[in-house]
Amino acid sequence: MTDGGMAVSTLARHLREMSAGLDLMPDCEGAPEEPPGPRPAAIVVMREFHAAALARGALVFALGLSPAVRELWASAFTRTIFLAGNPRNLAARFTFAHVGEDARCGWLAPDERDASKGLRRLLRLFRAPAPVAAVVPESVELGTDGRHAARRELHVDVTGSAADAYLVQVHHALAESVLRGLVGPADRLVLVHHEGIDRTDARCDYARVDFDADGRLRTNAYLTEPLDAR
Amino acid sequence: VLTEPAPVAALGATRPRLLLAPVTVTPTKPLTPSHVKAALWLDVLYKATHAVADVDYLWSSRMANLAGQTLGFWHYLDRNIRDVDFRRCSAAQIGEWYTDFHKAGTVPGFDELRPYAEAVECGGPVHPASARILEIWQRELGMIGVFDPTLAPPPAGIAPEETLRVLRERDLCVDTRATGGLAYLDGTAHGLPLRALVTPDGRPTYLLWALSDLLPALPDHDEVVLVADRELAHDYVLVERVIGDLGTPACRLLLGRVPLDGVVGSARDGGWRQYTLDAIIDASLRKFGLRELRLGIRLYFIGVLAAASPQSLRTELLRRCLRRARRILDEAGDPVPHEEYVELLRSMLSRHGYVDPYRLTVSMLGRERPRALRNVLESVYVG
Repeated sequence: MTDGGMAVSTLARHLREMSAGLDLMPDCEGAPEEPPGPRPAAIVVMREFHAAALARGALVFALGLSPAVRELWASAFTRTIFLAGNPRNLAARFTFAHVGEDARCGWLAPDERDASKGLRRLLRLFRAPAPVAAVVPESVELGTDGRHAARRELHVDVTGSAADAYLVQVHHALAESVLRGLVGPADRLVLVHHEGIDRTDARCDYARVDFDADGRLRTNAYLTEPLDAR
Repeated sequence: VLTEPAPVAALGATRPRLLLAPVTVTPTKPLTPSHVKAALWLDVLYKATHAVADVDYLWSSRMANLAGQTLGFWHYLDRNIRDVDFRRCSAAQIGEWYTDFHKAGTVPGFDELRPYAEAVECGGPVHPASARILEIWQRELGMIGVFDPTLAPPPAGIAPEETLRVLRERDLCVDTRATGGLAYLDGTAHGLPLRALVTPDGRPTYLLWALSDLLPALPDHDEVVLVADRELAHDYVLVERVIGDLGTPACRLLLGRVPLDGVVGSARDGGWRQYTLDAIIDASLRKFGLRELRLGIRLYFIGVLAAASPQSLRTELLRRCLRRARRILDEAGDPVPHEEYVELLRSMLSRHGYVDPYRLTVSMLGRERPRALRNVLESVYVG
């Protein structure tokens, strides 16, 4: 855990002041308020749950998108659909923007023509109701191209989270960090998992906050400001 | 065993080696016309193909006995039907209870079914009600001259977990169980959707049992003939491709169900009462001999209904086939030399190397009957 900090209530106040694009409601598949017609979404095809492969691939994917696709995806609040499938078996039929290490995960860029309809028919939603805390390492190095212009940490609360809910949180956090220019190709990022975020850095550049079961604000994830190289 | 090719030279002959692998029927009900049709198609295919190829019958008892509906039925019987000596029950009575079980609609969780499943997996006996059903089936199918596939060597069969491992290694399985999801059979490389291999409570589906019995047998065969109900086509297209990906060509023979009074039903819904095999046998033997029954019932279920006829069971057409059978048996000449018989069967081969039961059967219905008719009758149809 990093030094310096403040109570989550202070953080919440701080966050309310950050008006720009704060996504209080994590994107959820089939939500009732979903407008009719296809909304652009990125697709992640996963053979299995693997936190490091997902996070590393998500960064490479987001950093590799063209400005037009970035804009489209940002307008859809980086909506992402997670499907169970093997990218190796699908590469001949579908155009993956990025396939991660060992083909554990593959990414299809969002588009307006809903080109992934056929893919969604072949695959099933990636259901992972098991608690995520047991299957993630304490931290994951997400060094990008090794130049290390800046170093940040993405802190994620895994308390009581199902693995599929974790996927949504982390993928949005990484995607939005890239799309807002907070993380660039030369930066070094460390993904840190916590059981409970009660104190945090005084200043963070991005956070994902949601209401917990008791109606209190809960910080699910936040991105630190650039840290000194340590 | 799975990766090493079979020692072809050791087999010596050039006869193709076929594996006949049907979907097995759950021992929970009397034999209805759809079951009779499948049994007769398999029987003719097996006996006729024997003359031109080595055919191994793979009868997966596990697929039938470990199906959720079979285990659930046993559980239902033990809780609801007491003080009954199943050895004295008719198949119709047990079938009624099976219908009641489905009407009750209560599906026990796997924890409650586990003792039944484990008993069968360890080679223990099936439930007395199913033992009784199997005994009745054996007797009735014996009457109509159907080869009893349970007499074939039982499949070597591997554990479902081992099957999943082999499939994962070949990129044929997506396994998300580590985080509470399912494991799927993956034919997406062929454009086929994922199909679950385990249930949400972790039990193998019938597809996984089928594959667990098939996999060890693949290296010893040149082609697999999958025989399934047409309603399982979506699963069996996938099984065919997956077996092909594992290195053994496979084909599927899909048989349509026989509607009863215009309704394509499942035995679980009832409605079969006057059409079960014992009723057909009883009615036929009042006017016809056993050999006429054996030939006539094959002429009807293979030659008239073909693989996919949407026609309901028509007893008057069945009777006509029995009369036809009497004529054919009366008029068939003497046997011809074996080579000529083999030559006839070769001319009836499907492109997958098995004798097509439909072509062979209709060849007897025309005016010009094959010269080897007597051989065919005695070796395949009434023997």
